[in-house]
Amino acid sequence: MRDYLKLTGILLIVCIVAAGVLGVTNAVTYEKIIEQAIRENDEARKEVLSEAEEFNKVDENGISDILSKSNYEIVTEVYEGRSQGQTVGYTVKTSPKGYGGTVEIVIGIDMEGKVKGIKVGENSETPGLGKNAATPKFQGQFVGKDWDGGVVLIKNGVPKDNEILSIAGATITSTAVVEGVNTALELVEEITGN
Amino acid sequence: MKLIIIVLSAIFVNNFVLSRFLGICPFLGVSKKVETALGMGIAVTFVMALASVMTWIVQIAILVPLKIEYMQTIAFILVIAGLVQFVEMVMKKTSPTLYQALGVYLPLITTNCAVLGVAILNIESKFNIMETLLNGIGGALGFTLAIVLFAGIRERMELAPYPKSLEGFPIALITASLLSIAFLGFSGLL
Amino acid sequence: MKLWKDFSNGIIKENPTFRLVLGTCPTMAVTTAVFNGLGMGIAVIAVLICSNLIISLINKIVPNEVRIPIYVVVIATFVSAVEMLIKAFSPALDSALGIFIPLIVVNCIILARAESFASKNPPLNSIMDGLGMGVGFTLALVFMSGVRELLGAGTFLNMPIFGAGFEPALILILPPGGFLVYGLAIALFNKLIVKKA
Repeated sequence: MRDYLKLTGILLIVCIVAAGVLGVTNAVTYEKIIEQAIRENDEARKEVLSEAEEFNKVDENGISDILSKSNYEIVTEVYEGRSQGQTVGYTVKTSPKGYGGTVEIVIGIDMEGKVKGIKVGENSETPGLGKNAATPKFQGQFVGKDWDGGVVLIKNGVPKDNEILSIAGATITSTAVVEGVNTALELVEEITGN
Repeated sequence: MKLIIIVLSAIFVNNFVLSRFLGICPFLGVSKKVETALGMGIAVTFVMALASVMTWIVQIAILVPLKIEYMQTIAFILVIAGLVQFVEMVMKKTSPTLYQALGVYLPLITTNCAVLGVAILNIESKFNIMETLLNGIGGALGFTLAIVLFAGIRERMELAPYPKSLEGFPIALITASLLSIAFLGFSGLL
Repeated sequence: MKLWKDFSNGIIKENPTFRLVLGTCPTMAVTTAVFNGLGMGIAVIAVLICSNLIISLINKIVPNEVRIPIYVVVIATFVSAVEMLIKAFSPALDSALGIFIPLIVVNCIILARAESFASKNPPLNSIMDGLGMGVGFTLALVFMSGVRELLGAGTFLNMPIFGAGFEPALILILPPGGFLVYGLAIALFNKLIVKKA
């Protein structure tokens, strides 16, 4: 019985030391980790809406009755891009479901409701197939598209004005990105009331 | 519907062994005979279902309220190790026959990364408790399916002639590669 | 001289990946690109050295009955610390390796070295053993990811190597390619190096 207590005691001491070490590491790295996440988001917003000089998070209370609609479930963040005191556009972050989980997409939309740029962020898609959604070639196709019935995905051929050519072998990922962009376009349309 | 998709996805499309590379050690180590492979599979299913639920509760009830999510790895591995020990003890007392059949596999499961892997994936995917349980069971069934199929192929391969350099692990890995290609066919399922 | 032997042991003679076939999960999962393979290798080197050192230092005061749980706690502590550092300083690596960083805990190489080497040898030798094993693991990962990235994506460290006419063999960076390249690499290693030795 005494042995038993001794062993438990030793294990407990080891665990306490371990917890202490981790607590210190956490204290040192915590702010840095948060900072990294914020910076990544900032950079993504600048990339998709380069006209804007600063971004303000859109007050969620103001648009809560719009956001509560079921088709906006995948929207995670809405920012307003401003330049010289004027609103020049919006960036919307959506997380539609792709092939290997959710795909994060940040979409920049100007006041005319046209896509200025998109950035495919964190995702668990297949390397070499779905991961290609983050290439300029695929992302670039969305520039200039607007909410007029939405963007349509085609599997082959030459895309028309409102069409996007799917990534070869990754239809599910392509569909997810198109869904994310359409949702963002519709949302901005509704916010600006065009 | 969502629940069915989680199970099917864990068994076929995102098979733990053949597409996520979790639990490769026992997959290669305990797959020379169909019978032992099946035993391992059942033991893993049992532990994985329990571990999924237990780690989920630890995360929600202890780590998150205390804001010590950074202790996740340590807490989970201890929960799993303790759980395996506990299952072993209970099995020994209540069902000696079952213990005799599965006992030898139990200690090996602690270091089976599929168990820790599923626990972390459940948290990352923000599953609720029902989804967590089903993901654990589905993942384990996927593991069992893969290891039993693999053992079946290996039993037959014993008699096949192949170059000396490929003996042992190389030929096993190449076989696993072909099996993995077959599982790629499930991609379009969901 | 003994130190050098402890170090070089892990690189060829007992290479953890190709000879001992330990730590197979990350070996196949993260080797889709050289950057990921290298990052994983370095993370494992860090954890191996630290855990080997600590375990070698405390092995006299650790009761035999509970040594394995204690080793696991020591290893898990370092893995968590490494995970936080990667998150803070290299988010790109964090998102590429994902779940396989916490899974270093169950990488059998580390526990195997703790049990079979660090618990029986002095600290300095244990550090060298950890370093050697880690470097051997890293070299194996870089070799495999090099082959897979080059042939499967046509790039090396994300730089295109072949001209536009090259059609990459996509299958190599998909899961089956992991098994295939690993199997052939072990066969090659056995054929070329082990025969000579």
